[in-house]
Amino acid sequence: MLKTRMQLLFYLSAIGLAVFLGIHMAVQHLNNVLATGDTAPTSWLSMIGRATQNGWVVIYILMLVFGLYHGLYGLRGIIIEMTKSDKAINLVNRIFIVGGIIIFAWAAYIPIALATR
Amino acid sequence: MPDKETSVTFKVQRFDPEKDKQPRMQEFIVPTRRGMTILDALLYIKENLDGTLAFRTSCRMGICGSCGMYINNYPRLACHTQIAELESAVVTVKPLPNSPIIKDLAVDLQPMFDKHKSIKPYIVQENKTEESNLTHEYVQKPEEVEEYEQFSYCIKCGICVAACPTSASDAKFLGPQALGQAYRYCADSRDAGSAERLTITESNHGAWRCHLAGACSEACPKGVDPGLAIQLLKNKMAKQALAGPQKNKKVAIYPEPKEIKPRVAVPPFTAK
Amino acid sequence: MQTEVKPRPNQLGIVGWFWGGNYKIERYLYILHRVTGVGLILFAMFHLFETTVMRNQGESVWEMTMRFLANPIFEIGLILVGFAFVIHMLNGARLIIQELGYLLGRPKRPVYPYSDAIRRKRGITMIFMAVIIVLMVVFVLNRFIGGAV
Ligand code: HEM
Ligand code: SF4
Ligand code: FES
Repeated sequence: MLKTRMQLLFYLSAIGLAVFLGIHMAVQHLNNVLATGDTAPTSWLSMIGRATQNGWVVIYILMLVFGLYHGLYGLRGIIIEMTKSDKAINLVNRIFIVGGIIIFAWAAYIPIALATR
Repeated sequence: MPDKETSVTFKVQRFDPEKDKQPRMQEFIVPTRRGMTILDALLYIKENLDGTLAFRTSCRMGICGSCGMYINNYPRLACHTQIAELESAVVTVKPLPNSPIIKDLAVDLQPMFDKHKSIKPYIVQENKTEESNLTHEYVQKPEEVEEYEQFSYCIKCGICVAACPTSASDAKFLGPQALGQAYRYCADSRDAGSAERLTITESNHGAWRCHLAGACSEACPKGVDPGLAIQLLKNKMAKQALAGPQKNKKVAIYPEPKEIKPRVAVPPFTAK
Repeated sequence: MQTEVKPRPNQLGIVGWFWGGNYKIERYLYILHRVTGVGLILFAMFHLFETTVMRNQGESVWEMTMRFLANPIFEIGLILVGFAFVIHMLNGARLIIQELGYLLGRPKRPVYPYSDAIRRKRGITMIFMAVIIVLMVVFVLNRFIGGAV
């Protein structure tokens, strides 16, 4: 039942995304409505302020894991639905696994590097 | 529709694989009467206007599943759709989408039948000799019958497959018909084939390619609700993936009859 | 002599995702979910570029990027991404629940006129849609109360 387990992980990552992107939305995009006090969340100071807190670094990396898995697995599903050849599907699987790991490694390294700079 | 005779324009898609490169539309004017169905109109066309029109029909009462067609941009049974209910002076009739066209309105349902067969659409028994040679009668409670009864009304007409957006692009997708029937057997308390069947329905082109568009259930002419069946199937798949194969409750078996009552003889006056 | 004639393929293809006939709203929520999902992953890639490659070059490059993005085209784009997120998240929550077989009710004997589970539970779908619209409004409101999106 590997494919069912992967699908359940796909749903689980969606729930994770809802939680962490929810936090992200509240702090960075609903700052005025919720009166969080941060009027310029995209400024370097505000951004670096978050980037040097371990809590935020963890949230960013989890968001990255969930987002990459959910997004790429979702895209894989769409591609399967337009592809007859099993060979092509296997190729897509491989490209997504390798691509996902590379993007993860690069994008997880940056916040860690920033936080420890 | 009033009792007096009126007429309706039929735009029918024609395609003869031996002659045509592309399907084309042909118009017919059909005199209609009260209660007349699309199938009646097609029969009228074939008998009076153009004998070369090809379509499939058998029971003309919504039982055989032969006459699924795409009527005014919606898949329906031609025999089960009255012209009046469409409330339209022009009726377009096309073959069902997502199944290959044999000729004119007749589509090839073989791919759907093959997918149906692939999900083991029969009661699987733990004891294989019992499967082909029943020794007992299995008793089901009404509640146990209700679990699958609705889904057992499927007449394999291909209408749900025509409605499904995944079937539109993915020829290998098992489709609402086969997946719905997979659940129909998994939900049957007499069946012991879930473990096996659920590994078939989790393939790349299986149940997880369904995204709850619900068009299948909306269009099904028999009220089968394949969409509901597929979501319940996914529930079973998730449980099997997390907790291993789930067994159906053991069904009751009628006790062996102790004595066999002699058959009542056929009255002599009927056996002539 | 008889010749073998192959049936003509008649699949609607990808066009069928967008339009397949006169169906009700749920069939079209499906494509909305798909379009927003793909939109979000495209945005995520763009956003990752911004927060890795650009951010890594320090304060001046970051502020320059922010100035470059502060124009109506990107702001409207960001509002669309916000809408896509709200739609995808809430409709996604409904899909997770219902695709796992919950909130759909039990099978029912097919008695004419037929109904189906998704339509019988239309109310639930509509509640999710209502929350989506409220959140969209709140999201836009944030832009006008303060300044930054
Ligand atoms: C915020 C919370 C989110 C939730 C609750 C959520 C939920 C879901 C669900 C349940 C599906 C499966 C739909 C189905 O099987 O019919 C899905 C599909 C998808 N999601 Fe998300 N999602 C979320 C965020 C995201 C994000 C941030 C992205 C982009 C990176 C994304 C990209 C996709 C893609 C590409 C699909 C495939 C669409 C399809 O197959 O039609 N999702 N999402
Ligand atoms: S589920 Fe309904 S629409 Fe689909 S083949 Fe069976 S009877 Fe036809
Ligand atoms: S002719 Fe049998 S279902 Fe229409």
